Amino acid sequence: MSERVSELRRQQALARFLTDPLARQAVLAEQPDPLPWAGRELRDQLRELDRKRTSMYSRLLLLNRMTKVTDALPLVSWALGQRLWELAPEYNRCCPPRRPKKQHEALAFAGFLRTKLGPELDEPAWLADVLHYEVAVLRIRFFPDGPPLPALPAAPTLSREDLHRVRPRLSPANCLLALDHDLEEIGACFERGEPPSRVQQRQMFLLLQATLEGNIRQDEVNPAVAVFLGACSPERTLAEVIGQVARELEPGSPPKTLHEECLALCVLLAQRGVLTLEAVGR
Amino acid sequence: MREPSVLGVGLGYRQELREAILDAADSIDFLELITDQYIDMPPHKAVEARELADRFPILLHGVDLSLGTDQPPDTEYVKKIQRLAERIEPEWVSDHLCFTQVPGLNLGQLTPLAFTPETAEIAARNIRLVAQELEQPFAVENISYYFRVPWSTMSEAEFITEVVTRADCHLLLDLTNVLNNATNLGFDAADFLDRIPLERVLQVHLAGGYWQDGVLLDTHSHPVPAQVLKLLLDFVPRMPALKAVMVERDQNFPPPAELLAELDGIRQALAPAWPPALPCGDDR
Repeated sequence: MSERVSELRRQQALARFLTDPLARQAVLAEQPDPLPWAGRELRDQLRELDRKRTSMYSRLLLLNRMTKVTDALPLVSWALGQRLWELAPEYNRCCPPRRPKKQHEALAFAGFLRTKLGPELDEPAWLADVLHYEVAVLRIRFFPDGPPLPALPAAPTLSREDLHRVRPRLSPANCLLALDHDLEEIGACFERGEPPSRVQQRQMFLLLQATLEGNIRQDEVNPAVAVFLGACSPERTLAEVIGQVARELEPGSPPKTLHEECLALCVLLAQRGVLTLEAVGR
Repeated sequence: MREPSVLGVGLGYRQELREAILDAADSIDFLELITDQYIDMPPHKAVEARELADRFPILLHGVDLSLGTDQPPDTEYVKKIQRLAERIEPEWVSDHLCFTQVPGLNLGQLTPLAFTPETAEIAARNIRLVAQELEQPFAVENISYYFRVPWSTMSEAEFITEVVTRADCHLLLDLTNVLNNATNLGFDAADFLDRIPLERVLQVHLAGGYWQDGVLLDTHSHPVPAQVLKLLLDFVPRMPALKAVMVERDQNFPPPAELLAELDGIRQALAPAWPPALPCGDDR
């Protein structure tokens, strides 16, 4: 007696057949229960599909996924070269397509790639840095905690009296990156279309800011500014942030200049929209 | 719901064509935006959509409603389309007669449905559910596909007719898809067009693809083939509700002048049979 199968179940079976090469092979080879929830009649019907065409379509689906990855992670794709396409089938098996937009696909691939970094994938040495960078760019562009803030028309006024009255924190759509290689050099080689022969190992701190216009502003900042930005949090007043900076940078030295410098820095970054100053008690 | 306006000959908006489109605004009667490129996107995309809507009549064309999936449409997604439509006031909204997702999987590609009365009812139900949430008219587009789903019991023409009749919706007729499918699946394109409700055609899509391994691919990467244009000229007199004819180009972008010349060529060829193709001079 023929079994009653809902159209949704048929569609699920077809989608799985098209996206999962192992399931497809198993169905075609008539292995037992390759899709245990699909009945015999449905599996028989899947075998009636034009094999050449469905195989082409499956390749098209994977190509489509990987094109999204290369669009959204250009430096990573360039760093991987041919290995990107060698990794594609395994990626497809480990991470079935869940979301259609390229930013989702790129983050899924980045997550997969992280599991490969290390002994399995250690070349080029700067791969982890470009991965870190491009994921950060995607996150602040597409998944910020809030919309980017515009620059303030005038610098906010901050005095020493405000040290305990405000809590500075990184605004939405901003992020600070610590990298181990010179990203500028890598980017320049990418622009010229040349593989970098040797990229200088250099610790660099990069402040990334998504703008209202949809651009990404990036500024290299010095280690002291990086420590200051790293110390900013919704739980710390400006005084506590400066205290943290003092502990990390200048243990034992008088904090007078540091206070002035941190105040000036805080004003500058708040005006640029990088920092949000929240009044204590709010 | 307002009656859709007659728009003329337009272009699918793509970021890569932005400058060319803005420079040649007088030669392009309308733009079609990909709905999904303006949903869950950074704020500058909303600004872009609004700016384009201030300069051109706009159509919204989506790719992920998955109207044929055997479950109701994603209400959150529909609400987002609705909010976008409220902001940019498109003449109409459209998506594809296909499925792109099932629970747990999103294929990211327009995948063919089984041509059965059951699937036709599912798609018609989903179209009605979406259409009733929108203030604008709603149209569904026939897709390119490379294989027939084995449990189909109807022809594609019968299936499309059944869906749009049951849903009482407009048809966005992609003539390139008709020719591709006829070529790849071995049927006659003109016979297909004879058997679908052309009186429901609100918009026509035109594009060009290329051959690969014996299959004509729908890549929107080449000029509109002469055969497709001939189909349009032959059948446009039977499309009384037609309001817009549009060229899609998604890759292998030609120089702007070439693309505009293609639009103009289509306009000139179409005008005797479909006068709205003609430029309206100062009125535009």
